[in-house]
Order: sequence, then C-alpha cells, then structure tokens
Amino acid sequence: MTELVIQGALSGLLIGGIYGLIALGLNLVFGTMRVVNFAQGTLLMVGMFMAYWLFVLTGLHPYLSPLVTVPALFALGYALQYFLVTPLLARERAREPMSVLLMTLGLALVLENLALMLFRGDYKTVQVRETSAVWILGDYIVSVGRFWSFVAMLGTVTALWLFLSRTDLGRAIRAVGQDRQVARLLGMNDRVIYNYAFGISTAVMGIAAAALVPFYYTHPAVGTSFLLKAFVIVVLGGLGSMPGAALGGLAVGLIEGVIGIWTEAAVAQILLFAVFIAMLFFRPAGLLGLERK
Amino acid sequence: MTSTWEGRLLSVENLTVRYGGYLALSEVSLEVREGEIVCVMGANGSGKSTLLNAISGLVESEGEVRFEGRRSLQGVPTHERLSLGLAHVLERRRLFPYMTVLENLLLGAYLPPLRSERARALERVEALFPVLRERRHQLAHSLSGGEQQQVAIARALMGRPRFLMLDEPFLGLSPRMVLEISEVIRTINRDGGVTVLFNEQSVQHSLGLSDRGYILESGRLALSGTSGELLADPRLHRIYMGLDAA
Repeated sequence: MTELVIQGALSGLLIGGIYGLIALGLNLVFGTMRVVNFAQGTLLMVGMFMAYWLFVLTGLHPYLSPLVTVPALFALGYALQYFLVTPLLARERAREPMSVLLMTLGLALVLENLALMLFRGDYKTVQVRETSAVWILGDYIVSVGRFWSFVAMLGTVTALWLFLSRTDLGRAIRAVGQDRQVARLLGMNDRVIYNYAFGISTAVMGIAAAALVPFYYTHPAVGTSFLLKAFVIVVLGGLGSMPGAALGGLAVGLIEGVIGIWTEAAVAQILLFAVFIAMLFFRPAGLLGLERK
Repeated sequence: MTSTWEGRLLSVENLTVRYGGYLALSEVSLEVREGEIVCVMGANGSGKSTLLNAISGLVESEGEVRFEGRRSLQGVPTHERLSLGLAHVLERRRLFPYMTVLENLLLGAYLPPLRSERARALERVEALFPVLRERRHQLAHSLSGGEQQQVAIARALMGRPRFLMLDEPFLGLSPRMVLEISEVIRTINRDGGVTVLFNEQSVQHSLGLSDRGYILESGRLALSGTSGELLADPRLHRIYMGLDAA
C-alpha cells in the first residue's frame, strides 16, 4: 500500500513539473500586466506541434527542439503583444483589463481551430527512447520522459529566477508589474518591457512542449486541459508568484498522482477543482501570493 | 546655450489640465532657475500634484513645458524625460514594494548610460543616507515611512538628475525625519548642484527651505514670490487661514 502511494506521488510530482512550467508562463504575464492569458495552453499546443513536425520532418529529437521553438515562440509572443495586446491595453484604463482577457480567449479559439484545420484532430505521438523507457529504483518505476520534464522545470525556474532578480531587463519586468508609473519615471518603456514579458512567457512553452512531446499526445486541444490545471496552480500558489507557480505545479501533480491510485482520473480532477474553489473562498491570494497589492 | 537662456532650467507656460470635465489646473505659469529650491504650496486639491505630474508627462496637459531652454517637453514620453535630467519622486514614496532596497536603488539607474556609473552612484546615495546600507536586503514595503522616503529620494538621485521634483516629501513623517529630509534636500542642492521643485501643504516649513514659492488655489496661481516676500504678504495668511494649523 505504502509503495503504491509513493509510486503515485513520484509520478505525480514528475508530471507536476510540466504544470508548473505552464503556470509560470501564466504568472509572468499576469504579474506584469494583470492579464490572464487564456491562450497560454494554446501556445503550448503550438510549441508541441512545432516539436512534433520538427521530429517527423527532420528527425530532430524533441529535446533539441527548443533550439528552434524557443526563439520562434519568443518572436510569436513578442509579436502578439505588439500587434494585439498593446493596442487594446492602451485603450483600457482598468487595472485588470477585461478586453485583453477576452482577446486572449479569442486567440486561443482561432489558433486551436487553425491547428484542427491544418493538422486534423487525430492524436499524434512520436517514438523516441524516452517515450517508453523507465528506470527501476528499488521498488519504484520512474519514467525517463517524466524525469527529464521535471529537470526541465527545475532548470527553467532557476534560469527565470536568475533572470528576474539579477538582470536589468528582468528587474524592469518586475518593476513594471509593481508600479508602472514609477517605472516610466525611471526611464523604462513599459510597452517594450511588456513585449519581452509576453515573449518570454511564450518561449517557456517551447521548453514545456519539448519535455511533453516524447511521452504525451499532440492534439489541437491539448492545451486546454493543461491551462485549466494551470489556473488551479496559480490560485493555489498565488497569482504573480514565481515560486508559487513551481510549488503549486508540484502540489497539483502530487494530488493527482496519489488520488489517482484509489479512484479513476475523473474523480481526481473533480477533487482538484474542489481544492481550487476552496482556495478561492478561504485564501484567495494563494499560499505564496505575495507580489500583489 | 543653456547658460545664456537667462539661467532658467524649467519654464511652464499656461499649463492647463482637465480630468474629464473637471479643471484641475488652469493656465499656470511658473519658472525654476538653475540651482534654486522652489516650492509649490496649496491646500488639498489645489492642483499641486497635478502640476508636477503634468511636468513629468504622467497626465496630459495643454500649454508649454520647456526644459533647459530646449524644445517643449510636450510630446516627449515620460520614460524619455529622465535621460534629459528630470526626476520625479511621487507622493507617498511609491517604492517597488516587493523588491529589496538595493533593487529599488539599482532600478534608479536603469538607463543604459547610467549603468557604468552605478556602483559609484550607489556609494554616493548611501553616503547621503547611511541607514540604506544597513537596509540593503530588506523588502521596501517593510521599511518605516521616513526610510521609504529616503529610498525614494535616493532612487531618484541614482538617475543623476539636474532637476528633481518631490511630491509632498514630508507627508506623514515625524518632525525629526522632516528635518533630516530637509537637510538632505539642501545638501543635494548645494553640493550636488541639483535644482529642486517640491510641493507641500505646510507653508512655514516649506518657505524655510525654499528660495521662492508659488501658491495654488483651486488650480490657479494665487501668489508667487521669494520666500521672504511671501512670508510677509498678508494675502498668504488670508489664503491659508485655518489651513496651516498643522
């Protein structure tokens, strides 16, 4: 019994890394411009299709796909902010702009249906060593693909943390999120900084996609389920909090993994969203929701 | 060029600000000369903050704002004004609350031309406010009001401005801290060559610190003159009857 729980916890924690990455992207955009990006999951889907086609057409291992997808997705995110979000944001005076939120929802629908049109709705998978390889550690089994996705999360969180706390651009991204007027007075061009924030948040999806593609199906709607979990995570960990996103991701993975032992997956999902609603009632700022006024 | 421009660093001509239908500032003209400390006084809602916000471009305005005798600042976005030499400390300090004191200060020298001098600038402001060195790694929102004001001024000085605007720098401070901040303003003006424009509700203290003053009443300029003239002017006491009790 104990072995079973530990095994479930282990698998859950490892997949939780991916959830954490998506929540991280969501939080980066929310933390800077108070916009919940409903297209975050869809941008993950875009990254997954890129990694998938790179593998099918050129044989590039998905783990090397970030070399292409991260710059490409950064450019895509930068352009989305520049051409779609900024013009809308400029017209909105509210602190949490509703029209931008709805626009991202529309964008998600457009991209999803575009993918459906271009690539059809069948589940696409790749076969690489990490697809089915496992490590046996005593009584426990560790999926190699899941393990590397966890490592990718740790690496990305560390890199982002260093970027946000040690570089001028990173500090400027936080500054604009905390007080836009003061940031302007100190010489920061908030619009350009928003472009970078959205670009980076999208680029992170390239890493999540690379980690997922070897052991997960690629499908136009794959982003939606991840996005819903990312919402639970940011509410759990705190909107705008980077460590909250990472830890929240692990917590959600853990809950899923352990509860999944006794019940079917659907029940685990119901419980997860029950936690979500309970959090909204009792601790709306999240467990680590600090960076919020 | 600038020296022949009659020593004026800033000139404001017929500045008008509307918030919807409400006239917050109406045809205000004033000037600040190189090396001066100038004070804008007035009751709550008289337009003091609006004036400073219009000068730094945070609110839209009609009329002229000229800096260093050069072209108008109208149309220059706020984020390009610090590189011209204009810094502005907003009311209630407005530190980045979830950053450390050090991070706040470093962001004061965010502009690329300032970065190479950043270590020296940090040394200078920490010499001016020794307590900031001890507080370096503390989160800004955990500081006392007086310490926050020190960080806010220090952060603005990191940008090496020629002209510094302070919006209610003494608001909510202890009497001892008011004296301390006043002394710092004198020091940066005298030794640092920084021209200062600040606003304040309390007349007595402001005029003790400044060379000249302007008094706003309901968005219009009511009085102006040197501090000595203003203190002797009976109209000042009429305008301020009951307002300067604190």
